[in-house]
Amino acid sequence: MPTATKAPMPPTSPERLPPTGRDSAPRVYDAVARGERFTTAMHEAVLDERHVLSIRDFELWYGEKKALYGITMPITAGKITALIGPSGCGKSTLLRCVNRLNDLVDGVRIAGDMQLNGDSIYAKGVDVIELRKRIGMVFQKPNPFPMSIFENVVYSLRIDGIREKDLLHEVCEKSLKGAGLWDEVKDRLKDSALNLSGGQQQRLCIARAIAAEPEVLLLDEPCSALDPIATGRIEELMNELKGHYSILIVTHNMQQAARTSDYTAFMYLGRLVEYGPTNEIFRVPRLKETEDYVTGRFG
Amino acid sequence: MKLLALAAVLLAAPAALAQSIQVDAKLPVYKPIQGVSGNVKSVGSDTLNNLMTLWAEGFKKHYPAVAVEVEGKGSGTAPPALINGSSTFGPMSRPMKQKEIDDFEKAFGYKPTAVPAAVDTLAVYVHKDNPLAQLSLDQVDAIFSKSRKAGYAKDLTTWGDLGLTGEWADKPISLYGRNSASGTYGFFKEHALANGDFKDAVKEQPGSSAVVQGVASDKFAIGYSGIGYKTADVKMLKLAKDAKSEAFEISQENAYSGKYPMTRILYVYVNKKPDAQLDPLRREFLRYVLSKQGQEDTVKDGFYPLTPRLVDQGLKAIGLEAAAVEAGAKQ
Amino acid sequence: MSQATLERPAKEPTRTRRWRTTRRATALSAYGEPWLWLASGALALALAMIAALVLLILVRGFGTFWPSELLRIERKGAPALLGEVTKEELVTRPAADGMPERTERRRMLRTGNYDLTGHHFEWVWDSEVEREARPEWALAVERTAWGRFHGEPVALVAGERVLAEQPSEILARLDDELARAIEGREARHRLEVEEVGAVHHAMEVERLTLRHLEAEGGDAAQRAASIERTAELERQYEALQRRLAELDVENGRTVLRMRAPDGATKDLALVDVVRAYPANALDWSAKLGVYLSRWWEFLTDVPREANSEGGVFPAIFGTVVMTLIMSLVVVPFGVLAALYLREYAKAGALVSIVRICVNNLAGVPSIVFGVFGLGFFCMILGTSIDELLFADRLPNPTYGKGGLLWASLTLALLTLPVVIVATEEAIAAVPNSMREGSYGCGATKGQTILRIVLPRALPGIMTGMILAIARGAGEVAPLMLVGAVKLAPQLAVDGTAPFVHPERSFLHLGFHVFDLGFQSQNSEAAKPMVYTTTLLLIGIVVTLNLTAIWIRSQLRKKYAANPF
Ligand SMILES: Nc1ncnc2c1ncn2[C@@H]1O[C@H](COP(=O)(O)OP(=O)(O)OP(=O)(O)O)[C@@H](O)[C@H]1O
Ligand SMILES: [Mg+2]
Repeated sequence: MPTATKAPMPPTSPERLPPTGRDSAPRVYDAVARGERFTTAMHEAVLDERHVLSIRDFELWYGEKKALYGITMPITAGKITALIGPSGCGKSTLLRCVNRLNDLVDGVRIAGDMQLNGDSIYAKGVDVIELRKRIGMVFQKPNPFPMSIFENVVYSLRIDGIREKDLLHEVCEKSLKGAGLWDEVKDRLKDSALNLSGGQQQRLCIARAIAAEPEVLLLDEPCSALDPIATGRIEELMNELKGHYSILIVTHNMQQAARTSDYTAFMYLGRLVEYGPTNEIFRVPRLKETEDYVTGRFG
Repeated sequence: MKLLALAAVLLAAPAALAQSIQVDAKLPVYKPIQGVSGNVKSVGSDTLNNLMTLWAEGFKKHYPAVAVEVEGKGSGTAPPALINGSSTFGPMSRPMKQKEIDDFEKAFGYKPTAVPAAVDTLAVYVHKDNPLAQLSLDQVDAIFSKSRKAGYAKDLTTWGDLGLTGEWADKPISLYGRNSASGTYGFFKEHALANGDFKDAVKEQPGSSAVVQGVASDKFAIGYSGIGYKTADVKMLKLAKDAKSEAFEISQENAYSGKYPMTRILYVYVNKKPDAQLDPLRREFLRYVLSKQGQEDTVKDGFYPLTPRLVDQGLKAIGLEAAAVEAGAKQ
Repeated sequence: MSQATLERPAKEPTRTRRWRTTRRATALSAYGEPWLWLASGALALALAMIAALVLLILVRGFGTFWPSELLRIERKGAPALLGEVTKEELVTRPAADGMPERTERRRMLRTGNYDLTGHHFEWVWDSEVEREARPEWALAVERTAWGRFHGEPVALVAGERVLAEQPSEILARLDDELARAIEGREARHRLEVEEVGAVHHAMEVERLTLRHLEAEGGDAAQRAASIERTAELERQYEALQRRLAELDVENGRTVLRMRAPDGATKDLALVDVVRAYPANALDWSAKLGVYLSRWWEFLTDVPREANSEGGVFPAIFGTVVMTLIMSLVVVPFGVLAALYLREYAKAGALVSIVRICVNNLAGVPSIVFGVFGLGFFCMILGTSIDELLFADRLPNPTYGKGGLLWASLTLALLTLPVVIVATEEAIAAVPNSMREGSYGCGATKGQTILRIVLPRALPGIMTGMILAIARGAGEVAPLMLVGAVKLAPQLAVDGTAPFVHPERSFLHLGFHVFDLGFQSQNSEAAKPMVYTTTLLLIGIVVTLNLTAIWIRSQLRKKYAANPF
């Protein structure tokens, strides 16, 4: 039984941090407030890996309002990348850009590009439907569909027109097991998914996402509605999935980010502030702001 | 003029003097023939609505394979339906207007055929407790009309104006009438108001029965409607042609003789080529209407039956041999 | 954390108390109560009015068929009367004929015997009454024609033979004889409908064949054969006609001889009698029997005597079928329109205008829809259909006139805004997260709508349908223009091919109410029927709605979210 407190606490003492870059960097928040450009404090380690997704100079506007500023960020294949940052800084926005869900929002404009395994996401003529099938997403709030548990899990197969019962059942069982829900629901697959508990629903959504065998899994605060036990189970699940899938997770829970992720990106007001291996971000952040944020002194 | 002619036709019949209305024994008894089937649709007068339905029910007893459909929204709806072919019969509570005849003629090249079907009298109804017994037509005009074309000296607005005393003296007369699409409205306007205009205060009702019910529920009301719709809650007034003449009550005799002033013939119009025979279905239906059985239905619905002479007139109109008067002569 | 919350009450009371003591009075409006009273008062008033209306309809509607006793009143200088007391009032009569001003009672009697007296009802002043009694053997007879007959039985006669002469004897045998007479009536009806109808149909077919042959100039042998067949059919027809006539004679043999209250005797052929009961000798259960048998007749029989008697089955049928067709049409259309407005159309001025128009459409007087239905469906569409498909029946219109189909479509149009608005709301209420979840799985817009949005919105759509049914089933005015008639000979579904005849005119309960209320010749007797028919109409609407509500609750169970 994994527990939520197993992982070591991130170091909080500033004395143990190397001074490199911290004081020499311009004060990020002031710079942002003044509208000045600044470069992301990118740790070299991220660049050495194989990348499944690369975001380049990505900008986004909601109507007149700019929400993302020049984000350049490679996402490592087969690893877990955590996105952290204060509320409203654009984490969900960035996540939703990866599978072009923001296309559905009126008045959204973008600049820059993203590439999934070398294929441009925003190029002309990209089949968005096909793209989304390669990317799974789990939302902040569980959103099971108004249908049975079984139908929920195999939804992506249904829309592909797959009818073979055996295959559907196999995928359903595999995905539910993967999401750690199988034992709880195996006797009531025909029941409405809406009667599950919140935590079960969230795991159902994860099962739904992995049933399509995506290349990238986007998780937007998947545990915000869950109790520690369910959270632990999902973290465990992520650990199992990692390697096979590349996971991009948004979280407000620093311990969770520290525990589960391999890389962490800190965002602030639409900018990517610092990005590097998780233990470096939490132990030896290059910027004072990152340190303040991960130690809870933000604000 | 028209009234006189009508009176002449009606007078020829010997008056029946029974308590309930009697159908003249000389009317031909209907005998079914073979090979009659098909669909009949009647569109027209709502005064004749019930009667058409009764005839249809009676006719169907003889010809089960005949399907009759009855729709009654007012006499004004009969001519258009006949012209565009959506109806086989057009029952009307007034003769067609020249304009309607012209329209018909424009469409077919000949005039529509009018078959008399029943005799109706328009009654002036008051509440059953109203002590008033009679009116003259010019008084009726002065009650209902703002133009007073019949020549009564002053407007009549309260029951006191008509000589009633006590609680009635200062009560305003509450007026009930039909809506303008109905033949009853037109007939009353022509014969009682001398084509003058109705007062705005007349409460126009959607059906003949509604007028009677209105009068029944309003103690100070007066209204006009067909005699067939009388109930125990209302009283029919005796009517005089003018101030000098005697007032007559509504009875079969007075209706036939024309002594009661507002008598009219109800018609069923058909589209008949002048030189051609009617098809069996329509011919038999009309023959049923003009038969003893058909005229008993008329009585059942509260109207007066046709006199033998009117029956013969109808039979001739549809190209059949007259049967009633001759039969009577032979007896 | 929990400690902190526990501490607070300990600290705060002193402050709170001081604050409270400085400001004692609180404005009345600050309390909820006056508003509560106002709101609940308004609700209570509305409910009371609705309850009163429903109660009136229930009492009058259910009371109509209860048999009452027959009162015999002998009057001074006027024939005696025998009838049910239907109304009673106290009236102040002015002084007249040597009588002082006085308050006197008068009663209205439903006398029946219209064929003898020319009256259905009569008022009787108490001062006119010489003697009144409830004769033991007073018999109320309901007939297929001429309405009721009230009188005392004199004899039961079969042809020349007198079967019974004592009232008790007559009544004892009456049930059997009546049952036999009804059998005879039904036998005749069957003969008419089945055999005569079949021959007629064959003749019609033959007639058309012959006409066809003549038009095509087909060979003489065929024509002769056809003429021969027609002749044969005519012979069959004549034979049937003779059998009918024989049956009529046979059926008319048994008569119930009755004495009317004024002394006249009248023979009533039993075949024309619907029901006869000794009104004053009925115990409670016998009355209930009469009551139920009248309801049964009302619900299952066809109208008689220009709709004033008999049943309303065709009207029930017409109302239900029309409402169902309407729902079948309006729901898909309304849902598609709402889907387009909500999911596909780009939000903007145009969509807003369309939406405003749709909402305004709901406020257009229903008669306008009737006029449109008449002009567009009957005149334009129907006439074109006739010219294309039923040219051989012209000038008799088939679809070019009011009919069940056109009426249903007109009502569908009338109720479209209701469905659109309800569906739009239901679609808008589908959480966006569900849609995004579906898109996130790689579903197309169509798949998302079909698999997620519509199922989830279904209960709301059902609500729209319920509202549409409630509106549509109660609507009368437009129907009068597009197919509801006073007498429609055949139901829209019957045994003759093609079995479904949507072009036929139909009877409608709402129109029936109007007809009874405003057109009926015997309006006094029709009035209670108005309530009964209204009751029935309300009952049908409620049943349709309950069904829809039940379906909706089933759907809700399936699709509604569990608020964990
Ligand atoms: N549909 C939208 N239209 C306009 N502005 C939006 C829209 N969605 C998000 N925003 C704005 O974009 C900014 C980024 O929002 P986003 O949801 O990405 O924040 P977040 O980092 O996910 O915050 P949280 O941690 O609270 O979920 C916010 O200022 C938000 O107000
Ligand atoms: Mg977010």
